[in-house]
Amino acid sequence: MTTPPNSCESDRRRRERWLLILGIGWLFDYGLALAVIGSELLPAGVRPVVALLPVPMFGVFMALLISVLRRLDELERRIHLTALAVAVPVGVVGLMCAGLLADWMDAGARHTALRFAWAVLPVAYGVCYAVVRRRYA
Amino acid sequence: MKNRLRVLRAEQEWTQADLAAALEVSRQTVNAIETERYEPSLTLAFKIARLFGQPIEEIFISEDRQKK
Repeated sequence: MTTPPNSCESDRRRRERWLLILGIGWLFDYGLALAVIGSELLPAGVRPVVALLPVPMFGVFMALLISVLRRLDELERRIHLTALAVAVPVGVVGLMCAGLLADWMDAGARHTALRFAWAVLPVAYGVCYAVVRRRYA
Repeated sequence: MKNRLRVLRAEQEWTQADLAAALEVSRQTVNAIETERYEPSLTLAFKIARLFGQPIEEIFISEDRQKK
């Protein structure tokens, strides 16, 4: 039996693991900023700094994400692209409906909804990715 | 498009993971090609042909050619 050379599968898995860790770290930063920014003890001048708290972690996350994307093979790229192509209109409709529903909400609920509006697109993307991936499983 | 990838791989006694490693793609890609759920790019098709030492048209058979 002739065995072909080993791939860099373990390297990819390592990068994906780090991506997950950084993603959790980034969400933790966001949660921390969210918890602190509303505090009345926080001086007004510090608020913009707190609002930008998730940015450095996001920068590292993006750098690693790009390196993972560059290593994807053609089928994986197609899966991501299809998921993105479906997720964007789904996300837009989700935001559109949320915007229409905002008229029914009181100011407090509208403020909370606005804070979490960013999550519509990644959630739509995650669901679309899982569905498209199943097609090729 | 039909293909003979599974047969050729079996002849070499390679697993899908072995073939994926040789082609530098994921095992999922090899599986999707074998089950004809995904048609590879020309670049990957040439790589497969080179690996098995056969012309592309011996590995990938288009629907029109099958009918003839």
